[in-house]
Amino acid sequence: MHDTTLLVIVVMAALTFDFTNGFHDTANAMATSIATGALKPKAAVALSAVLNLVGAFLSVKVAATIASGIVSSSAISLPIVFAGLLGAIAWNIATWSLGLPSSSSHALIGGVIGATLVSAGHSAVHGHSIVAKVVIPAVLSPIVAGLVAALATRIAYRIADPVGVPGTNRWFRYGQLASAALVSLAHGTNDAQKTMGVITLALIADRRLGANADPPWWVIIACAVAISAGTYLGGWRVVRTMGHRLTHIEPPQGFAAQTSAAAVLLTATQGGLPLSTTHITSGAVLGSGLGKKSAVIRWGVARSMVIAWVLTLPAAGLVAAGLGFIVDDGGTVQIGVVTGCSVVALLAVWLWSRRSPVTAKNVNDYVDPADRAIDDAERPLVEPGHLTGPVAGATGAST
Amino acid sequence: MSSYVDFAVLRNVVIVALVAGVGITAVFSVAARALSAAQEGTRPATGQRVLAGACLAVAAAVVAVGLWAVLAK
Repeated sequence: MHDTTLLVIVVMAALTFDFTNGFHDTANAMATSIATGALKPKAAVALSAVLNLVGAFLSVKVAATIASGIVSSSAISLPIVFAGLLGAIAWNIATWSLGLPSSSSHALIGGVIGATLVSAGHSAVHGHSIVAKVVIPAVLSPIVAGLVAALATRIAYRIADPVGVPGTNRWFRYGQLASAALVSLAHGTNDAQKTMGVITLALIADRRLGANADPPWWVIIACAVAISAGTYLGGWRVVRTMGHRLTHIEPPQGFAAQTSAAAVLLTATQGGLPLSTTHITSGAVLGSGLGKKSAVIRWGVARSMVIAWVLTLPAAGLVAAGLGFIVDDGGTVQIGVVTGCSVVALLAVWLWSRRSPVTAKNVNDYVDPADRAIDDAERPLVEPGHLTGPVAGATGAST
Repeated sequence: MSSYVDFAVLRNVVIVALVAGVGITAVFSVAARALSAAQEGTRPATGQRVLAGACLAVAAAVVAVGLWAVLAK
């Protein structure tokens, strides 16, 4: 395939990934604010989109670091970047359709690793760096964020005492506007740059930029707009999981979770630790549940989430490896077929998701199945004045 | 293990995140309590408003310093 055509396809794939990153990660900043009613759903995603856009322009320091140290730079080619991006997009779409928060950055890294393994062999992949930069931070970050959030929540309830002092929830809702804005800004600063890094990597691989070049202005603008548009679309399924399914969130918990997540995220960024926004915010939400006495944590949902995190790297890598095997030589037919099949697969998943749509209108209409079972058990089997007895009871339960 | 993890950085992240995350939440909680302590429909007393304002100023200052430190890097 002609280099320019392939480069355009890679750039389009990168921007598509950036878009999926935006809507997949909307929940990171806004789920708790939406769940507590601090912000209306559409207002929340609009605010987050604007702050992601702003955040993307604040710095380009980490743009070139996405794959550095993970794979040999000499092994990177346009087909590898293309296959890696498709693997990451596939994982993002799959986890979104299941409503599971998972790391877009890890999906991207997994994709690049998988495609590189097939194309250049295991010697081009740096196992030590993967453990140090991806695996260990993935384990530690939700634990640290969870601990900080649990402690912050406990202290918030101890000091503010929302039960004993009516009206404190209102102030925590105001506070959530600021804390959610902070997480959105941090997300834009971190995640938009990763796609900028991938496109820059593609431009370097195609010899249109020199090694160690900064992202061109059009790359920065395109990535900022793509992640912002994705955020505005809103990944409502993941928002519902983070805001309702994991634990019931009240305003002090939401504020504590977001503040803790922002603190861990910004501190780690400052210290040069590459952490996943998703892992940090999910850990913080879980911690806010643990920090409140008598709060219910739905461990089944947490378990599914952790399984998704563990599978992110290998699953995205496996898809990218398969695709990398097909497109490695850069043939026009192969890349065309893979691109076409990917578009069809994305449409199929989207259509499947429309069978049970989660939107801005119904994102907060979540009733835990266990609560529903309790409600059903406590509800009288028949309305007063109707027949009583086993047969009538059965009829009443079914209506 | 130490070749995989920079424990000095990790320790700094944990300490600073604890101080900032828990600290901001704590001072904001004091402000929220002070502003909510008045009877419904009445304004908080001057002392409570001053306390709340001071707490909110501290929280905002910590956030501003944190953002500056990250962006300046």
